Amino acid sequence: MNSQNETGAVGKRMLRVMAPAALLLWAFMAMGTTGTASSSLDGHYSSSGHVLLSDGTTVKVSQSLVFNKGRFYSMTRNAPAIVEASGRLETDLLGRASLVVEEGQVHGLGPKDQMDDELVFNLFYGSHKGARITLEQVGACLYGVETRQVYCADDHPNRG
Amino acid sequence: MTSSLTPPATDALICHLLKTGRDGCTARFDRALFQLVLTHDEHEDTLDLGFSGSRVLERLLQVPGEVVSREELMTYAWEGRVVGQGSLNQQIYTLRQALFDAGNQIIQTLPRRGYLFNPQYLKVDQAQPSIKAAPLTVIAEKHGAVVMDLPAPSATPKTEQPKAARRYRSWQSIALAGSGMMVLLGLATLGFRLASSSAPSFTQTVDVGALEVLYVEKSQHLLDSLIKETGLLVDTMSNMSAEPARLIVNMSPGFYEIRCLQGDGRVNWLKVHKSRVQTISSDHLQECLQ
Repeated sequence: MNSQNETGAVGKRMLRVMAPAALLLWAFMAMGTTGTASSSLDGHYSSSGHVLLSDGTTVKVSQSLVFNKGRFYSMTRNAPAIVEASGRLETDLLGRASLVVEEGQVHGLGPKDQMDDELVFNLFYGSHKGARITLEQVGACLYGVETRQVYCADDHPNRG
Repeated sequence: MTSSLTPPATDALICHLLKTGRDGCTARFDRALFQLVLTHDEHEDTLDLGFSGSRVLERLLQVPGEVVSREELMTYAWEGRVVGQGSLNQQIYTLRQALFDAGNQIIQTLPRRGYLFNPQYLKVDQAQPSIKAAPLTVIAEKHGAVVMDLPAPSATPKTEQPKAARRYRSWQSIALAGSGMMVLLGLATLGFRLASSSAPSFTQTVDVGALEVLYVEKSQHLLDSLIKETGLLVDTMSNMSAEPARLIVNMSPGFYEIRCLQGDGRVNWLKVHKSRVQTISSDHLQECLQ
């Protein structure tokens, strides 16, 4: 009986440790996927650049992105197409941010437009519901890994 | 007092010390005197249970954790007499009152089956060193209290464990296993997330004139190809720039990407289709550097 009681006491003590540990671990995991830690990114980001297509023509591309309270709104003008998307901003356990698209649309892209397939793919990917775009820091800018887009903070403190 | 029913050895799990429903209060059952001696803060109170009440408790304590039917209790407590069901009810009520068993946790009722004494309320007498040495023997204390010591743990078959205790332990085991699984699953998910979020990349920094060029790719092979294929383009940009500047060059499907990092933190960028890397105009390169 004594050894059984001791076993029961050990089990009870282990349960007292394990159950809160499991709860804390899962709470930590849940916190790592919410947008609460990403409010530091709030603001307006944009960039523009040129794309030299395979047919030798050059297209000017401009991109805008706004973060507000864990959500994002983006617009990409890739003449003649315009892509808009919105969704939520998530940060993982390492603090790396990613965009999760909830709504998106492509306007003005016709079948006759001469645009390389890789660019069209990126445009559609960025507007597809459920798409995840990982953001990486490049200087004062954010780089969308999957869509190859660059967004720079418009109110960067070092800007002259 | 003599007992007409000698409990079999396997059923003889009786302890003379009992816990009560009140904290710090224990009870010693004195079978010979039909008494319960309650001890609380070194103060003792003696309660007379009477012959029938004493016999009811005695029979329940012979098989703690096992159900004793009403008929058997009545036969044992009122041997040779015909009494109504109410008599047993009254004795059970009195015993519960004596043991401060307000929640019916010590003497438990099993509807249509009988009663059982909860083995968790048995208190092993620590002052009996002879318990292990002489299992299953009956010792008369100087006050005549019944002491039936517990068998050594190793000698106790698992089937003799009280059902309530076994139920509790199995519930505890399930909860423990569940918590352990949750912790393991959480750690595995955490490890997977950490492993999957760290995308390894190969980088190489090359100084070309005033330019500091950082090449980024997913493998060393692709990195070597990138440096080789964009060599002319980077040389051209180097000739254009007298000021120190930083470039990041990488490959995306179908295109080379050149990002020119500015002093204010901004980035100018340029994408060149792979088939056009040799024919890009210097205007676009200049625009990236400015």
